Amino acid sequence: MDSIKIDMSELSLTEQFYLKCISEGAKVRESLDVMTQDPMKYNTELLMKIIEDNKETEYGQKYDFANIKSIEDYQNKVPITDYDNYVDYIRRMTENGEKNLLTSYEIVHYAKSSGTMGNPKRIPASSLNKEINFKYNYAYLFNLFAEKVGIDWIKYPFLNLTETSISTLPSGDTYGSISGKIMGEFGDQLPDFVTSPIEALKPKPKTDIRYIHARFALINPDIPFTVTSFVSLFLETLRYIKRNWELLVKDIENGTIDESIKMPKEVRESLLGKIEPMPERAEELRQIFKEGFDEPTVPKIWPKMSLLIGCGSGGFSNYIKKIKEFTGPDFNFAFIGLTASEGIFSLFVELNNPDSMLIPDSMFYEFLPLVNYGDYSKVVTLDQLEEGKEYEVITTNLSGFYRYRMKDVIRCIGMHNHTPIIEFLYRLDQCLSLAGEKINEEKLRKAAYKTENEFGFDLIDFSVYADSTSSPMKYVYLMEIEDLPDDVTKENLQERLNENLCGTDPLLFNKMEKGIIGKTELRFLQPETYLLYKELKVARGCSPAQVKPPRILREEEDISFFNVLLYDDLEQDGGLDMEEIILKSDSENLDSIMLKIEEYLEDKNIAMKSKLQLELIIEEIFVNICNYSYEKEGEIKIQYCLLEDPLRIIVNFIDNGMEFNPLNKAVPDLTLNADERDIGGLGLTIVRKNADRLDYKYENNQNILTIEKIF
Amino acid sequence: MDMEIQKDGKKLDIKIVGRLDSKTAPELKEMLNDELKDIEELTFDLSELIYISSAGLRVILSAQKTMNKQGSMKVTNVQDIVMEVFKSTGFVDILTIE
Repeated sequence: MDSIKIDMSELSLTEQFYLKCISEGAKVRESLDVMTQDPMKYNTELLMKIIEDNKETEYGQKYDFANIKSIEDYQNKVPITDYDNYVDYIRRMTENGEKNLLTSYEIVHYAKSSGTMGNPKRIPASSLNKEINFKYNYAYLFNLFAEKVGIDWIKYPFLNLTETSISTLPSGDTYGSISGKIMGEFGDQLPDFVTSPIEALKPKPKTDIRYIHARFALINPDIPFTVTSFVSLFLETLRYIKRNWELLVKDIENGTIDESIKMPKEVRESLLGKIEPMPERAEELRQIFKEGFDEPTVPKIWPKMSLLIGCGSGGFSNYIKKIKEFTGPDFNFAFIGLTASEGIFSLFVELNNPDSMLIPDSMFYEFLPLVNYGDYSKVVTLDQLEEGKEYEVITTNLSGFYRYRMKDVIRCIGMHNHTPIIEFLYRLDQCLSLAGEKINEEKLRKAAYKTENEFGFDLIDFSVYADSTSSPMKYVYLMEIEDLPDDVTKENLQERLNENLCGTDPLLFNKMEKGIIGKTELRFLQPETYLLYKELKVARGCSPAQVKPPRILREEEDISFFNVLLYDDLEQDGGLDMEEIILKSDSENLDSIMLKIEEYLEDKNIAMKSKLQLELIIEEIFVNICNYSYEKEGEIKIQYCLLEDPLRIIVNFIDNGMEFNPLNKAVPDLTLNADERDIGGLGLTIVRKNADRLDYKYENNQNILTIEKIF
Repeated sequence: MDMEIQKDGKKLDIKIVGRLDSKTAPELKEMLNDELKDIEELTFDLSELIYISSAGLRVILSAQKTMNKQGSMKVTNVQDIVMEVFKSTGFVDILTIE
């Protein structure tokens, strides 16, 4: 950039903000250049400052900060912690407004942490943390962007997909996402910065946010970049536009909001006040969309848009590929590195490079080599990281967490100057193991996406769990997919998925060869299952931008959630395809049913014992209906079909006789002699003993008894 | 899927018959979009609902969210097979089931 004298007073606030970022950013980059040459020096200085500043806090006194003079002292005196160690302090801070407990720094915000089940955590953020956030997430970034594309963009608003909902805690502090907090500080100026109106940034319940984001982005051809929490949200927005462009264009043309778009009345009214018919832009857009989506559409809709800022490491690489189908190859990504509620852990080295480096003045780093897992006497500092090795991360941050286990695993993959470049691998509490192998999210993802590419379907999302109750134990993949080619069967996919998963982990392959672990099973999920998952989380108080798809399932409740939403023939055909015979209710007819079933099960490789048990069940029920259901004679309809996984038969007995639920009968009293016993009751005992499922319902004047027998 | 709808002032009773899946859920959704305005008491009779999928659950969830704001909603006569889905998905904690 050339240094040009600019009269700041003639600039809009937006332009002033960016210019400040860009000029501060130059200083940040300079200081990073210096710090990264000798990161240990600056990281040690940071720790000593934190210790000194906090020696009078309750926590500092408890652990004798006053007498800590070295890293070694610190490691000897202060324990390794996780969130539970801070819960009581944070409760006192947020509910009573107590100060000087964990930190002497001013806490300006509480971050809602994402990713875990149950109640979101409240992670304190101090004013120092916020400064660091400004330096690295804004100043540094916009300086690099300006270097790449100049500064013509600074007067245009950008597309912001992050949530700015902030709530207030009893102590008066704010609570929500960190990015929301910073956005919130733009206050009344926010509309100058971003295209989306406040109705989408601080959404009221029941508001279709995607529509508002898309609608207000489309009318603005000058958008220079997009900011999102997870890059997948940007993809979701583009897909929304692709699906709904006709409606969007029509609304833009007429200055309307289609009736089908959900939003509270007052939101609709306030939005309608902000829009007017834009027939020219609508026509422009219509021409673009009519050309289809095979060619990248983003450069046509927003010619200036050249950057996406968002979390992009690990799990998001697949999304990047899909985003580029919309943007074309010449699009920049700023992967914001490993940013957690606890602070900024790492910073991207340059645009379009997913590598991110440690930041010597952001937090004090300790690392436990994964080979020493659990033995915290083996922690090392950043100068001792070895390339290629994996580590658990422990941080001391600027907001009152000391030697805190972030539960993230990283790998050191190189150096920038003398500062480690790291790659986020997986969450420590997100690793599966059945028999000693370690299957983390990265491996599961690789296997899933490889299979997706090989067969050319669209993987909406997936989850995996370790089924240790089956014999042999196995991994179960649950996938929601679209556009499965006609000639591909589930068995094809399952076979290949298993091979691909084995390919990621030799130990798994080995255990499978030995039969210790069974082949990986694939189950399809119903359409919209992940949308439902997300909406349920939101209904329970999670912020929409923070709900990540649960790739690894551990909790029983999550596993049964997905397993009850399986896609099967029922969903596809609107009912099972069943064989059917209709007979007079005469026990003489028993033989003809048996013959039919016998034929049906031929060649199915079913054990004789199971067949006999099935015959017994059918006999008892059929005879029971013949004897009791009709006063004279009527018809009995019998439907049956075989299902796979596990191999089982379902049989329906349907009659038009009087309403009679045999399952309500009490278990017979076997002490009574034969004459006194209820005959139907005893037969039912046999049925109960041999069937795996029994259901009765009375529907449309019909008794419907369903039995299921697993072979 | 069939629906039997009874509207009485601010009361709306909906009986869903058959299967509520990704094919039929949009129909219910559309109906709710049209009818829910000004309703304060919504009752779903599920005595003849024999199957519900993710798409169906989304519509029910969205109806519950609407009714949280403008009144109350209850779900009645749930069959075992559908109840199993409500239990496993945590809907039992969200819905009022009678």
